[in-house]
Amino acid sequence: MDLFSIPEAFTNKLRLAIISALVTGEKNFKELQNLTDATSGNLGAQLVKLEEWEFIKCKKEFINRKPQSTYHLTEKGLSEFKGYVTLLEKILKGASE
Amino acid sequence: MSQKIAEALEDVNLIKKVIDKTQNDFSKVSGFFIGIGAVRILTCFLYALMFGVMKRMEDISLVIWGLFRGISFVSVMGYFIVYLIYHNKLKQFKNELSMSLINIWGLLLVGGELFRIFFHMVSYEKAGNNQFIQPLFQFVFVMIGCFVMGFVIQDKLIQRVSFVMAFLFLILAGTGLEVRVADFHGNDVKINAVTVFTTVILSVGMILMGLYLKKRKGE
Repeated sequence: MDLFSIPEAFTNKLRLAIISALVTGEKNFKELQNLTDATSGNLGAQLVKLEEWEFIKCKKEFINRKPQSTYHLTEKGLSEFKGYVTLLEKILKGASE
Repeated sequence: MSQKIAEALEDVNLIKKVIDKTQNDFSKVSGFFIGIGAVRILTCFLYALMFGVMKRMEDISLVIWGLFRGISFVSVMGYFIVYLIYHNKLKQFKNELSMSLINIWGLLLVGGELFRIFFHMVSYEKAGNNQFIQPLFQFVFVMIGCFVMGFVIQDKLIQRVSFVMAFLFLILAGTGLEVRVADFHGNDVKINAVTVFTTVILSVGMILMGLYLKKRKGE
């Protein structure tokens, strides 16, 4: 990954926050909302995009007869995130030298 | 280029902030404390039930007496089951702090109960000491858990409440106050106030702690 090939998933702060939140394990919609301080509409829209790009996967189940969506990072999402973090490190290391 | 560096720094800070927030989210541990409180309430209910049965009996057989004494093991088994459930639940989340807290509390609660039961068995004849020593053991283990948790997760409310509870316990222990709870075949049954206090902390207190951790947002 280089500066000119950053995936669109990381070009939006909310999407980056969602991916960061999912690095520590699967989360449901409400947890993601608490962690990202996003509105439900905006969060929902970004989750759909991330799912389309196969960065995350959604699991829908019923808990106490209520539908609940749980999200987790895919392998692609995790590896792209690691690549992006490495790129950020390179940029900041280059700046400090 | 400096704009790229500024954006990179912003992104790093954002990633760090969000991941830190996930580590300070103890809402998944809340169910553990609510479960512990529920086990305690169940144990109290069983004691009350057995006591009611024994009160109606002219002669109390060894079996019935054994069942009554055996209720102590219900709390041990209950705590252990709650611990196992939440230990397995938390495994999938990479929140090491929550996992450590569950392990510490599991050890304190299960180990504490076993130690208390063992102590009661070996010093059975010294009934006077038991009235104070047993709740002391229970209380000490719970307070250690509360203090450790309060300092580890840097929660001032838990720290302050722990100090207040410890202070109240010392006051009650110092007064030696007893509470008459029932009549048993013509004899008054009295319980030391510290026992009542410890039971309330282990039941209602734990449930309130669980509810507080659920509402507490990661900072």
